[in-house]
Amino acid sequence: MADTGIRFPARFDPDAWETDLARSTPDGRTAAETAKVDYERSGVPAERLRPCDPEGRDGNRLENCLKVYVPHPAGKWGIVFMLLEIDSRLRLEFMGFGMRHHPKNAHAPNVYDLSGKRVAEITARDLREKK
Amino acid sequence: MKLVTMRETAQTLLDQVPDDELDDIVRFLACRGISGTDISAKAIITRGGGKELTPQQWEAFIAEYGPHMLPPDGEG
Repeated sequence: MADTGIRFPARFDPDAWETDLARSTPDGRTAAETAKVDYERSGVPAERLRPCDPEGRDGNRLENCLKVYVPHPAGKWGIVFMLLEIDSRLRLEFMGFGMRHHPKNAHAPNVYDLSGKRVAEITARDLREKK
Repeated sequence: MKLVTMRETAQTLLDQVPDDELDDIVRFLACRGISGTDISAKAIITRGGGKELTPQQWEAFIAEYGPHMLPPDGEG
């Protein structure tokens, strides 16, 4: 997809970021840090973003979330962001980094599991408030 | 004397928890950072000072920027 020049600012929560990198491999950490430096400095290009499935195939609910693959365009890791509003502007908030897929018998969470667990708290709270 | 690691203790305790209560425990464990910080989306958003979009705002965003982005791929 062509470069549109549209970029969205991104914020990486230091605690969530460090937690996800600590469980990654050295290669994963290098790829993640490279992406973070680029996205913090220049924003995330629209043409690299994909909307997450509101209800993923593993049962993860990632409403209002977008993702990029790391490294771009089809790396084996992914970053999930939630789109937020701050001071009437849009911003991407880091929700998780990790492998997109693990070997079939591995029990480690992928990036969708990690992000889904974090976002689930919001979803559960919202559902309670709507009752 | 049989030595029991903390992980073994945790696994034993988890085995005693009814299935219908496991979800909350897993969610709690998943939202602790390595420094013990709350890394739930709610806490992350609070620290960053942002606000969640309404469904209408999300729809408007997709309508405006969706054509410039990659499509959902069903992966997650």
